[in-house]
Amino acid sequence: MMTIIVENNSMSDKNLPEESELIQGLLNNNQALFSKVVKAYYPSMYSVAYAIAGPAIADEVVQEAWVSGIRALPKFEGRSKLKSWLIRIVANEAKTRLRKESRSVSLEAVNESWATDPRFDNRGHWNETNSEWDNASPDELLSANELQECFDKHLELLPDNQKQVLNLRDVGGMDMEEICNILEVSSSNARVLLHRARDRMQQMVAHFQRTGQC
Amino acid sequence: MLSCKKLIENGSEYLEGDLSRWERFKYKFHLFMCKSCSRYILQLKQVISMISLSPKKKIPQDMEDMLTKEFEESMKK
Repeated sequence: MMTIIVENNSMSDKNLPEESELIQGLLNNNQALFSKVVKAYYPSMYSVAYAIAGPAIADEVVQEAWVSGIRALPKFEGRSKLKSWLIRIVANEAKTRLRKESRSVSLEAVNESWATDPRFDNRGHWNETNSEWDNASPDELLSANELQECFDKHLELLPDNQKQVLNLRDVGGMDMEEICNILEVSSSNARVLLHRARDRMQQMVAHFQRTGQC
Repeated sequence: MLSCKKLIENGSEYLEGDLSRWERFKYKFHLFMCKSCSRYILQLKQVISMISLSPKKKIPQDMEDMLTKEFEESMKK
């Protein structure tokens, strides 16, 4: 059961009409609306393609996914949101491209250990109190340019396997079962990878809040 | 009682609703008692939203033009 509601990952998503109106508009060949949708969904579609297939072919993957999506649009049944449907097409396309190029999704075994986490003493208590962050909302936090830059840099530095799961889940909003199928990884591994990635990013922001440095 | 370290390790499982009813009860009890851990969970939620807001790359113009053309032709049929 999923309890997290992943927020729209692009501000421009908010400028789009409601889902049923959106689909109807596209089926009525509304080109201005199509242009808005393409622009709004591109950042997340690119991130998912990039995480699975790498930077060299990410744009090709997105383009191919859109072409497939456009052709299948008249048959779109609306069982999921248009964006989720397109993200799924991108993820599958990225995986297919990797196969064609005889590369594999590199989800090596999870080998890091929590055992030596310096935040905790040997009884598992915090060594130092976890401080509150200055700004409350994610938007406010990211409005500081230095923090935004540092955040992006650390996202990029995550191990590939963590980046893949994180992008599919938190950017693409895919459910864990789908992610496991796409990445061919066990559910327990995917969950560990997801949490390691989120935890690293939490530690990065906490460090920035504490020291003002990346 | 669940240790802080153990609680942190299961942060995403808690947020994703993957804990059993008993584990969830123990988890919530710990959060109620421990300020550092309840802050951590709040921060983890903030980070998840930040991650979802992070992609900002703009679509290349040639791709947008190509897709617009494809859309126009496909919808005419």
